[in-house]
Amino acid sequence: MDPCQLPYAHLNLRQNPFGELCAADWTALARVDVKSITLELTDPHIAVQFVGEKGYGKTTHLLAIRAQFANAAYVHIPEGQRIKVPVGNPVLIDEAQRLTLWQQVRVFRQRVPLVLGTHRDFTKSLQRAGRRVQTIHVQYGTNVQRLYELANARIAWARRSSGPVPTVTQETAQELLRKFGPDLRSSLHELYVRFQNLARVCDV
Amino acid sequence: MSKCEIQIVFGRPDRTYRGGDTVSGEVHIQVNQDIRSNGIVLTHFWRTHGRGNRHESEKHTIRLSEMVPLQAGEELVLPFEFVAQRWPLTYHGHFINVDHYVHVAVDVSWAIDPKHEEEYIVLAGMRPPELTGERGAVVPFHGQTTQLTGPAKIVVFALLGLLVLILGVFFLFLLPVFLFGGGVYWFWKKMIASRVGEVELKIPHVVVGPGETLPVELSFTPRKSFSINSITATLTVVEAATSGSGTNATTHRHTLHETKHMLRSTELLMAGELVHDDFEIPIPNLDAWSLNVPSNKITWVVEVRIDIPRFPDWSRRTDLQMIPGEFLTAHQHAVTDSSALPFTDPSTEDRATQAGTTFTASSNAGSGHGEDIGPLLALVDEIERVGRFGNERSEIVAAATGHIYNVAVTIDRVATTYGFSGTDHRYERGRTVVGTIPGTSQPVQIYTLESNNSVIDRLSRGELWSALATIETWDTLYRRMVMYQVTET
Repeated sequence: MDPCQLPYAHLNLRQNPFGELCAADWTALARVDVKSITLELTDPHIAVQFVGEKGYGKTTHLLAIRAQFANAAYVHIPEGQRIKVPVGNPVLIDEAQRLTLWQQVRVFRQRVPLVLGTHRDFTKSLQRAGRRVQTIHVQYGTNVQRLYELANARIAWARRSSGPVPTVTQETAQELLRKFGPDLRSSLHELYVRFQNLARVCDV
Repeated sequence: MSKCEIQIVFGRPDRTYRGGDTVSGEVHIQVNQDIRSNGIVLTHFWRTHGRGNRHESEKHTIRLSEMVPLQAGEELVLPFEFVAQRWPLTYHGHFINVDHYVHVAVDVSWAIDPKHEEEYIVLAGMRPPELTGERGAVVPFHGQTTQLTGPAKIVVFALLGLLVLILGVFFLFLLPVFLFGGGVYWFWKKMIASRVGEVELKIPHVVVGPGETLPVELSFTPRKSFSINSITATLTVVEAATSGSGTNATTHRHTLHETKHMLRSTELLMAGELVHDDFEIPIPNLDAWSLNVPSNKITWVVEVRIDIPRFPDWSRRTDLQMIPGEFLTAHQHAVTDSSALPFTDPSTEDRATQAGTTFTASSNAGSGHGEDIGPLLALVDEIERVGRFGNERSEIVAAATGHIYNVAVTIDRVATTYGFSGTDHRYERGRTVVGTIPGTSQPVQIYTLESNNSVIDRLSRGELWSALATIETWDTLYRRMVMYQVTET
């Protein structure tokens, strides 16, 4: 791309829609249904855990739930670090498999609704702590329609001005789902590369 | 539902500015219902976007308006003006982009603040203050990944040392592992040194500009005779963008440029015989300026490798810092510290159209007989006298172009010509002779003809050699005349 030209102006976009987003944009563009879960989160004994591999959408679900509650406290535990779990209602913990044993005991016994994003199933520990557990395997929430909507929502968000912009077709969404399964991150990366190579506005 | 439309109009329709320019324009605000704004704030900043986690600079805030009523159907126009940042420059790559933004937010009570942002383009303009003239080390820019210096570095190392001492007691059981690892590393290094000996790699400057050539000098005296597959120098330019963090982190790499220069191919190196390679690596004309911010890095690296068959290779990587040529040139006019490493003067590569008036040697160009060495030395004196700033040097050199000199040289070294950037292909695969003019300490570099390689290859250090040669340019870095041999010797 020419540095003297506004970025992605040839596609009527401001940036590659499939690049990394900040947390606020990520939340705004999440295409996940968390309505039924948010209704459950009035019960202080509930623990909802989103279980799945990386790239499957655990963080997206957690951020979407956070946006629904003014008092929510969200924390992402980085690898190899011990992070204090904040106070909130509900408490959302991303990468919960990195909680120390002591933190697990303390947090699981608190009487506030808890939402976990985790690679490991904590059902037994949570039940021992007296919680009602709802487990959601995120890979089952990914389908062609969701990927199609997510991709085009991102494009709409990156739009520069009125006028045509590239669109991702249902066929492409289907192809990506076949290729990468529920790994949304890999699908979005593939779209990033395709958009990077687009010379003009067209269907992708 | 109330709606607030914000439009940012730049003074320049192409939104293109140079660092240090004044960015001006107007913010137009229209609402469809009367509202009271608690203030209108403009911020300008730069941000990375692309495949890596976003990195945003410090935000510079300008309050455009205090509390103001916004009335339906009326347009509020607020002018703005600020100075464009000098660094980083706008960059649009594959995984990494850097853009500058103007962001406007209208503060409204009990509602989400309406906001809007637009990009503008920043090209090389005024030299960033961080570039002080030092080319020997990579210059950290304000707002990029910080590097500790001076007292802060000492404090951090002291604290780390203390921590290691305290924790060391508890981790004594790991000592054998560390000792074993250290032993393996030491043995590895010793093995390489047992063949190649002490390798000296000289790269006089690491801050480079597009289109320059990077001088590199490699010398070592093998301790044992051994064969090599090759000696190579590889210049690599890579974008590395990291998305996610921890175990979720993925680094995406995209190679923007890679050139491998073969300095020597399969050869037997003899014990005790000096191996010396003096070569130049051409820096490509890429606008991928070095960048080092969290999750987004554009790196320029030169790796010199001695590939030894069935044996560990010797290699060394040197990080370069690519900056626009404008900053190198601007710097030449600004620097006053003569102790600073000189920049290669790009003006010397330009042929001045006007002949210099200070060079008075008579010309017998085309006669087939070279001039005496006297006028050449006078020319060198003249060049040295005018100093390295300004374009007087290039004018002097231009005036001397076409003159043929009979140059005698006491050979210092003979190297294969690499990265020849001239247009005459007869020199591309020739040799480069470096030496001094007898009776003086004046160094000179002569590109010789490929057809003369067999003669030149027989020359050895200290030998006297003479040739008819014309002037090409003045090498500011090594303070020597660069010449072309005109006929075979």
